[in-house]
Amino acid sequence: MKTIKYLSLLSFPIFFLFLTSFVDIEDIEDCEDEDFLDECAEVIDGYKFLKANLITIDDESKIEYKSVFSKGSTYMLTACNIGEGALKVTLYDRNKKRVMSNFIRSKYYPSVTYPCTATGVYYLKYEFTAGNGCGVGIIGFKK
Amino acid sequence: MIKTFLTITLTGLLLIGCGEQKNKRRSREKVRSKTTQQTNQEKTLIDHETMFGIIKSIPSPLETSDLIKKMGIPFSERILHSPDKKSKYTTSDKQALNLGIYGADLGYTNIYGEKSTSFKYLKAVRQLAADLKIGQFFDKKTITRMRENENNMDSLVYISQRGFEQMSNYLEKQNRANVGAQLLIGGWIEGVYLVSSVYKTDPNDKLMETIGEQKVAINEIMIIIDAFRKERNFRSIIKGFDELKTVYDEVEIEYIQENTEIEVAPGVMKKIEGEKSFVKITPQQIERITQTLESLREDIIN
Repeated sequence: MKTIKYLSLLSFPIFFLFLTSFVDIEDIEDCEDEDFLDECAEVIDGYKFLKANLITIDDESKIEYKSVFSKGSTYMLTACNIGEGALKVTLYDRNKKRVMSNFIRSKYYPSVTYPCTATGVYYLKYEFTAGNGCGVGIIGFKK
Repeated sequence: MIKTFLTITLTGLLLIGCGEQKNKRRSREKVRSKTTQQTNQEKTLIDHETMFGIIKSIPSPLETSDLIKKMGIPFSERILHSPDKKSKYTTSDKQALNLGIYGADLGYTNIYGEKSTSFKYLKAVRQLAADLKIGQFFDKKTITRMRENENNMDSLVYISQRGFEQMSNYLEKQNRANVGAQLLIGGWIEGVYLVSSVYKTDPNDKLMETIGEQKVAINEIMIIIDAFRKERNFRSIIKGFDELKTVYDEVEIEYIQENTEIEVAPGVMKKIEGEKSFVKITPQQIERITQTLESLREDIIN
């Protein structure tokens, strides 16, 4: 009788774990939805849309994209996600030296701008502040 | 108690079953995708992910069009590729390269807010995309959306850029790296061609620098070109890009360390330890680049 009681208690966390795994798959589908992207793109108001990087982090801790930035352009970086925490984006220059991120003095900003002074290949690393998940990183520009 | 336990356990098991089914489906897709990728990799020498990573990293021709407009240079339909030639292209190679060219021209007309001309290019893009079986990203719904936003330039740019981005993402999923590469190559050629055409009539330092700094992009594009070296249908493109690379190897980009304070968010200043780049390019090098680009473009559009 005691064993049955323990097993009964154990089934709750198992049940919860599987429910959350379903939410994850649905989240990924939501992140690929155009409506989610449209909503996120509203943040870059005043800038022209350049590209959207889809972010799905499950196995690895961060995802990296590269992009050629041109001197004289100002780039707006924004990152949106579904679920808990926030999506952090960090910009690195051609030498992989950290330039900036959307967390300034530990405070999150929905978008940050970078007036580019050196043409080159830049790297954008995306990571979640809490656990794994999915989201989108949008880059806008203006001359 | 036993009843409760059994109900919970059975529901749990049922969910496990469903979850595993989904996971199995996902891993099957992964395996299938890996196999097709391997076949593709045999042809292209670099892996699929690296290839599309480079494709996505190349600057959009939209940036150069925006620069031309910001310089106060009036709109010129004459420098664009005629949208009437869209039906001329019957091979998938020509269709993909010209789709890239028309895409860059569409961006240029959108930037200038030339509505009627822009819709001619949209038509050309739609036709070639449909020929390549990637027409779903410029379907009736997209066109309606574009018509509804025809007075909002930023929205037009967003909708058409997204259309091309979705095309590229789809090609990546379908392992059609050659079409993805040709789209990029056509778009890049047209973007630089527009700048060099404007430079001919309005030569200035900024345009000169813009042409010169394409050295960064060409170094990336050459990785893609090298991957297709053995493919016959890339032969003339390879020849042209090899010539361009020779000239660009002579162009110098100098970097100096420069620390600046910039506004990274409204009212938020931040010190950045960054660099400033300077391009060293001569009018003779510009001429050689322009000639090579013109001949490459001619080869594609004719």
